[in-house]
Amino acid sequence: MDEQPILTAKNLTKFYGSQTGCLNVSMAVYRSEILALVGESGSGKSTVLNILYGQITPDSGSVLYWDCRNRTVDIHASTEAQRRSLARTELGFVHQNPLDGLNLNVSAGANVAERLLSGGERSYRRARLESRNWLEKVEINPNRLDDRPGLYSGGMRQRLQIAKNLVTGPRLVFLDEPTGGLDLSVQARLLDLIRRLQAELGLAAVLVTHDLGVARLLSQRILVMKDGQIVESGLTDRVLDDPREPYTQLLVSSTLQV
Amino acid sequence: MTLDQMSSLAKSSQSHKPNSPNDEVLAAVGLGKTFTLHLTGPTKICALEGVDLKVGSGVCLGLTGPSGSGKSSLLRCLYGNYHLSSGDVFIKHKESTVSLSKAGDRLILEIRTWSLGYVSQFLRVIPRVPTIDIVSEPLLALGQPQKQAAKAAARVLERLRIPKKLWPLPPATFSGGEKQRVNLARVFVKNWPILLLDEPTASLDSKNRDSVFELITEAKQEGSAIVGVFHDLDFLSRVADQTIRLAPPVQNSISQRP
Repeated sequence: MDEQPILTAKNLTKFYGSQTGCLNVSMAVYRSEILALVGESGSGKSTVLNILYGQITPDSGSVLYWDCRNRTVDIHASTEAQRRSLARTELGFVHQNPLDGLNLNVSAGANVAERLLSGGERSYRRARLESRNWLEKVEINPNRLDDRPGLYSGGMRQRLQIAKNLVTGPRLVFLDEPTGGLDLSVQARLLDLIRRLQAELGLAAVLVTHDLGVARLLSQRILVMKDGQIVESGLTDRVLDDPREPYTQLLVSSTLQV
Repeated sequence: MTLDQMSSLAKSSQSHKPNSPNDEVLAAVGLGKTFTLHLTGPTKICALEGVDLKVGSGVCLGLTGPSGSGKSSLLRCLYGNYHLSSGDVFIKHKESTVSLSKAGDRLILEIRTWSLGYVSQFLRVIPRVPTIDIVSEPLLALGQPQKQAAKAAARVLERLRIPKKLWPLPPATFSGGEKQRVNLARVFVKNWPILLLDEPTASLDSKNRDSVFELITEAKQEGSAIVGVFHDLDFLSRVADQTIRLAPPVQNSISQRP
């Protein structure tokens, strides 16, 4: 199968002083797939995710993205303006801490609408309607549309951040522990939402999580990281049911029924 | 090499009923599976050794053998859920024959979407997703419209006697037998060229066993090649055209999940 990936990373390496952020990490992400990146905290998952998105510059290695017109974009060789334009339209990034991804000075509705308007939507009315729509999809009561996110609970902020990222119909989203602080019922709803978008719109996602249960339900393929390196990778069900590396076996056996 | 030539290499101990069709769609040649458990030792556990089998369209092959002889492990190897330690599995997929040991992850996922179905003993689904949507999913994955998929899902749920009022509910609170029937419905909602069944009737009453018998019989008539583990010997003799008996490998003690 000669399939065109939507994103590839080659030999990503990043040091923080003498500390290893990540070492020789390579991967490909395909359309309509969810790729999970798992491992303990400090294993380099978030570093890799931020390099893929262009927020951290690697010491060496490259990230290539194929945009909606099938043009190749070298993420770390492109200008800040190019990166921002991609980030507004085709890419999304859901931060572990929702405050990093939200504008606290405007209302929740405006947070969502803002992204739509900067992505090219001209009608404010349509943007507002679409924002309301998305708040409903993530189970936020639309009568909270005009509240500022500062007044939201942690879980609501996270849902708002996810709505904000998905409203422009991105092709690829980076999810950094997106369901970490959420109630189980809301977490389930979000997992379902992401799966639906994947099936209906062909959304691709790179999901960083330490929850192997979430990885199993959501992802088709998985990369296991330890000390900045990928130690095992493959089909999610295969890696979790038949782990071969000592570290993966430890990870799987330390988890309550996944 | 074609699949026919491939499987003629297999020294099969299968017992054949006469008149079974002969265009093989699934074959295992010298298949072996050994788990290496790094956390204890390392310990090596041999679950399967030198297994040969071949299955043709419209034929149901039953796996027999004492508990611990590797029946479920064999199904998992055939599905690509377990790595193969030795030997290979050949699967007919879209007019070509794929070697499972050489197939990449993306190809295996495609084979699982189109050609190879599997009913496990557990229902693993995203919480809060309605039963009818869970059962529709394999058809949506093929790109069928929602409405048509839901119609097919309703038909199979009805045949498996899941009361209509349960369809909009997620199966989390269902009884063991109901969950198993949802699991079966999700696979029997479409025709599979190859179908793997792991104890599909384990917790079903006789009426529902009969329904499963009918579904299997119809699948065979539609040309499915089926490999199944049936602990119920009466059921086995009703559905299986051929059987293969697995003996525990010599140094084997455990053959379930590592």
